[in-house]
Amino acid sequence: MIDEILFYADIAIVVLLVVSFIFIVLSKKYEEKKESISIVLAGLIFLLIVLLINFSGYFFSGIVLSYLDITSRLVFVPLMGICFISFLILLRD
Amino acid sequence: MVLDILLVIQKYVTALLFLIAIVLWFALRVKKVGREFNLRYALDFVFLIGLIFIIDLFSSYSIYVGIANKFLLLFITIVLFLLTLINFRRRKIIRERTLRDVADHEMENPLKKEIDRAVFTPKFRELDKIKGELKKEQSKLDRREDKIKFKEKEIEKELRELESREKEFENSRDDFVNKEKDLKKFEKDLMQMKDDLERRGHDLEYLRKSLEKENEGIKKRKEKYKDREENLLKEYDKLDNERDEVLTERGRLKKELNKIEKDRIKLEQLKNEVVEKKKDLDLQKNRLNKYEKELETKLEK
Repeated sequence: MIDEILFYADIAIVVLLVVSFIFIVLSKKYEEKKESISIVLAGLIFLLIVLLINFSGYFFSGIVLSYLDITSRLVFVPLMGICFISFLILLRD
Repeated sequence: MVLDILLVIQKYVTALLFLIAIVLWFALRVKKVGREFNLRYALDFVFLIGLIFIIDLFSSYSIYVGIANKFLLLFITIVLFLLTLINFRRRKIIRERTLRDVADHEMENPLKKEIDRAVFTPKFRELDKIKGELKKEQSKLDRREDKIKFKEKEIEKELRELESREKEFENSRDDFVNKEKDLKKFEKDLMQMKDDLERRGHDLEYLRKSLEKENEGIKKRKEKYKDREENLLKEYDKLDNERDEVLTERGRLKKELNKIEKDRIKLEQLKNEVVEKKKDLDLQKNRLNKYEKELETKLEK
């Protein structure tokens, strides 16, 4: 029961993030500092990739999943963090 | 083993990165930096996503922490979605209203005045400048027009002259056409002549080549004849020498022949003498024979 709820929660998270991403892209034309928002959007893309890899745990298992997990942890998560920090540095300057 | 340790360290590094990001963002928000962002409330929740990676550090202690983490993420994404949706719709409505106000002539709008000041007033100034320049250009053009009219009259005169010349030209053109026809004929003839000349040229070239070949043959023959002439001259010299030798030999032989002739005459004389002596001897023999016969007869008797 709890697994099913978690599965649907994962789907909902991914879908909501994708829709939010689209709305941020559409709202970009009303923003003045568009390049800063672009960096946030890049960070959100990496987050989406990480979440999709987590979501793929329902379909894959074993070595494939462990490789995907390692890639997401070692590559995409730090990239997401770097994007957000770059955005903040740009904003402060 | 090493990879596991690396992954654990990565977890802490990621948590630290996001902690720094969250702290920085909210510190900037306190200082009211980034107020120009319409999406700043949505960005609050984007940065709060980093909390998940921080809380994820404690997921190994209990399963419920992981589940709570997932629900927290769901909550953050729902709020993020709502905020982005609301922000988008609000901004869209505001932008549409602003555009409508700007487009409406009767409505008073501070943006209109700003646009007037920022965009239209400099443009009008530029237009005034351009207008002044255009007036100057117009006066220049008027002056040029007068000049052009004067020139136009001159051109009309020239045109009349040209018309008279044109008539002359038409007359001369007929002559020219006739001459052109003649020229074309002449050109055709020339072309034919050219073809003939080319053919002859080819023939001459062929003849020249054959003559060259023959010339080479003659040269070779000449060389052969020279060699032969030299050989003949050598043989002639030889023959000359031999002829001299023969002549000397003939002189010698003539002398010998004279000698022989003299000897023959002597021999003839000797022969005659011998014949006479023989005749004498024969006579003597006959006489002796007669005597002998007489003797025999006498003896018999």
